[in-house]
Amino acid sequence: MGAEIHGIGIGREAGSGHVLKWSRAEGIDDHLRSSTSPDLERESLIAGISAGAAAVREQSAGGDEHTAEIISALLMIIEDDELVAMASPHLDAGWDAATSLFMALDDLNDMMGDDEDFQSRVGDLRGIALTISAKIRGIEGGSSIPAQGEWVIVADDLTPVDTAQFGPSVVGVVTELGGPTSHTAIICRSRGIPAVVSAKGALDLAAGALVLVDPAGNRVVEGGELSDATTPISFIVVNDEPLVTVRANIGSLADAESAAQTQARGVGLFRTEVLYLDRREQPSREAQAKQFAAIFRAAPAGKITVRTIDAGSDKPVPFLPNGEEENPALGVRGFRLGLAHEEFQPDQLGAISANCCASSTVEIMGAMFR
Amino acid sequence: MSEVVVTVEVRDPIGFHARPVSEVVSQVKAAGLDVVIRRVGEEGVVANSPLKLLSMKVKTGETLEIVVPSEGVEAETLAQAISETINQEAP
Repeated sequence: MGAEIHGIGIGREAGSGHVLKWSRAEGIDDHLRSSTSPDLERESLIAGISAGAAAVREQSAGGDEHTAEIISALLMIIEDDELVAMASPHLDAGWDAATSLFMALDDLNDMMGDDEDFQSRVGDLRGIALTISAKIRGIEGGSSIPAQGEWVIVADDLTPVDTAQFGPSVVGVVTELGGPTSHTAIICRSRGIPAVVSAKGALDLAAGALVLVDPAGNRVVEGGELSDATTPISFIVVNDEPLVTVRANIGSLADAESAAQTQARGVGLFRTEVLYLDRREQPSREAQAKQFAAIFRAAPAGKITVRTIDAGSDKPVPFLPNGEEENPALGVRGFRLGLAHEEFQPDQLGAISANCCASSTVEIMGAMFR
Repeated sequence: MSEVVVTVEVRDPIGFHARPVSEVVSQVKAAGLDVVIRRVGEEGVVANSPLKLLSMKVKTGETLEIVVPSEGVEAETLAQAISETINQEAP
């Protein structure tokens, strides 16, 4: 075994894989107006789609059959001429090629709101759209995660846009910053990805090196193997009925589905902002209602506590802009942001309550009222 | 022109959704025919576009017609194969 880096472990199981140093392509998902014409943007979109799809094919070549099938289904949707047709109204409205593609995917997401199979793939489609956007805008340097292999993502810290791209090939996460309640930790915990956060020296790990992410040991070991992992403390179930009710922490349909596989009784916190972080336009009340219905259906049985949008600060939502503030963490965020955008909060509450009657156990919670 | 029409009831609990749709499109593209999938009495869509098929939003219990614009054993086999793909994940 080689050198160790210490930090705060997230999760119980260890993971071992090759270091993939994460870098963010600045401006890859910006909302941009066209500087040319809709027709030129359409040509650039078509060329970008074919270049992006080729890049994804190349990355995912030679892998297991199941992943290959999923990727080919996703590429079939991305390369469907109909998607360019769906982007056309946005091109005609003066958005650039990449922005129009993102908007078309938002439209598709709204249209398919109640297809659970499709919902679980939306993140993958957005990942491919980012690759296409990089081709269209000529942006380089952003990491893309190969669909095959076993990768440990190493970064200073990760944003929701970053973690949204994580697929099954991500077996571990190491961040220099962050803490046990940061976005990275919450996502890794809910998706069962072993992580070590607040790990000083993480950025010095060599790209491609094999490392062991050992959360139970609060460490990352260079060259370590799974057999070197610390054994976590185990709890043995002795009662059928829990002495303390444990409820799940979810932010998406995928979270709700995986929580339903556990012993969790209901949902203690449903972080609704996660549904909007990558949306460029506010979804309709009907689309939101469908999304809530699917999540409520999938969630583990029991009381579900839904927190109204808690965006702003480190979790900006594109369609709810907010000015610069001295201390955004205590500023216009949470329910305050909802109040500042009267077109949003009533719709969200309406969408949640549309589904309350069906399952009488939904509670609503708001953050930062005054 | 002659055609083969096969009727199928969608039994998959989440309807005619993304996974079977993409397989049907592969089958149709491989055959190189303008196979149409429609609800009875409707115009339907050419089944070479996953987005068009998904936007039909076909639910469990609905009946679809698969129209293959050809004749003979091959056309019948294709229509039958597509109807099986639609329900491949049905219990």
